[in-house]
Amino acid sequence: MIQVSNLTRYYGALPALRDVSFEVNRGEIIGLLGLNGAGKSTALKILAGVLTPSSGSVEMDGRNITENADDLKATIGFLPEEPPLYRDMTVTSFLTHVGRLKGMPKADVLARLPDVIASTGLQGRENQIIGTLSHGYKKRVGIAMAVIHSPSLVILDEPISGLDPMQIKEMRSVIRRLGKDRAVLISSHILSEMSKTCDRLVVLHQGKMVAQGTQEELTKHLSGARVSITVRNSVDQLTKWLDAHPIVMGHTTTGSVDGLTSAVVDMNGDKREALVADLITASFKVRLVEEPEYDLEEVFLRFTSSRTSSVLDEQDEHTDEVAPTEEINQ
Amino acid sequence: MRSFLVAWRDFSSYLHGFYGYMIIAALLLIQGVLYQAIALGNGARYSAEVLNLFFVTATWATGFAGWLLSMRSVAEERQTRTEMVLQTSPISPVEIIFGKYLAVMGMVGLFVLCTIHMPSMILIHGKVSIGQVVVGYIGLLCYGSASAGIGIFASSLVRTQVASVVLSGGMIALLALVFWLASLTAPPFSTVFEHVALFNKHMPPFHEGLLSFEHCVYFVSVTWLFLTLATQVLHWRRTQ
Repeated sequence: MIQVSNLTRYYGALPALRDVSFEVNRGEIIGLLGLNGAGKSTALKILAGVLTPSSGSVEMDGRNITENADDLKATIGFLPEEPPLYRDMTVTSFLTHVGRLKGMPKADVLARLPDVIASTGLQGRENQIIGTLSHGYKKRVGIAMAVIHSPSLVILDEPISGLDPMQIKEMRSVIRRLGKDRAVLISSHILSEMSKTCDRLVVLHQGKMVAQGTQEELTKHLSGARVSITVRNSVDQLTKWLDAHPIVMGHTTTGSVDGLTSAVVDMNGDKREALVADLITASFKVRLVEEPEYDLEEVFLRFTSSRTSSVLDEQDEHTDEVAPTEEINQ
Repeated sequence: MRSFLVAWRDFSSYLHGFYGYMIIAALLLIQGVLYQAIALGNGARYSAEVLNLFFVTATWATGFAGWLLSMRSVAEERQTRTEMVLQTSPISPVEIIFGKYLAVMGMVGLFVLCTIHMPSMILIHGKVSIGQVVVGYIGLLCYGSASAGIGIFASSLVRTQVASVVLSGGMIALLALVFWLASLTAPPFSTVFEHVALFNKHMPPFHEGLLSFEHCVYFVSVTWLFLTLATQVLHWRRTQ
């Protein structure tokens, strides 16, 4: 439904996005992950038709979004990080105004309002002045604004930032409901929520897409690159050996208990068998080898930390190895 | 069509807040005082002369109304980030700017309407033609339109209303004072300066009740030029 191809955007000479490609299908919730300045908001604004790309394209049902911006804006709903609300209007009058700006006849907007009000949990606030609403309710009005015209693509930039836990839970169900019959693209810093809400994740780092896939796919990809080992040797012995080993990119020794030393080892790729074989060859008394569990935060940090970048760069240099993005895409 | 949605939203905002009323009230007070001091409180005059002086004072007040009311039109949307509502809607910069212009002109029209009692008194108690009153008001709307156009252009360039009012004030002052340059230069420059000047050449005929196509075209051109520049600013911002 939405095909993003080699999207690049410069602000002056500064690249904010570089060759980003992914797709979003109807009934799918896609999460954009990235540190500040990763290019998430720029990507979302281009998809919403607010910014034009420097190169590359976004196609919606085969139509270029830049060339058909005015037509396609009527089928896209966008909530920026700070909801753009007219504080002096009531909820109903604001939503009616937005619906009409999107091209809906007034009668259609009024007919749709009760559904939108109900689905975003705004019952009882219809005639309240927006400026007097709490932050959570303003976010809801923002989401109502993004869906009042029944868009086929909904873009939500940080929809849960600043909400309390109860509001986050409610917002999660609102977003889940939206994702049933339309494509939803969201960005957030709250990774646990992205994990619970999104069907698929796209990780951006310094304007580039470094990975995409389901959380399981991302975790699976990383899992081979990290291993937890326990040996019956001294901390010094293990540390020196790991420091000198060429496939080890980093390690954390967790201490020595009853003569056992544990370490979490990061490698440049899935080289677990080689590492264990080398440990045995080096006469280490291997007690336990296990795969550590990843949560989304770890996955995210692995993909976006500078160390991971250097790992990825190294992988890029090897022609017989596949870069993470390509691997997960397959 | 969507221009009217933008216009109605902005116009309602003026009506629901204090801002528009405060500006209109303050300008009516200042204009009333000036009218009293210049036209009424300075010996006996012919009705036509009093009406002429009324329109002189009203012209300045209407110019101020267009200038002050337009400062928030685009700048406030940027300041409060509500410009995103318009940017994500299928509405062109031309429609946005035209809607903003209509809203400001609605308020300018409201201000002008509030001054109607003064010429009405002259019309009832003196000997002036209704034509002079009508033409005078057309002149006021023309002048208000030009200053609103300049104000909207300035408002599209900056993020804050203060910066907008300073910038547009400078531009209006420059266009008004350029007439003095005409007296300091020789033709053809003096002729150009005379024709470019906002007030001295183009407004007096309206005050005297003379409706001239040339002067109407001048004010329409100034309005069109600055509104076009404002739409270009919005276009440019989308691609930057």
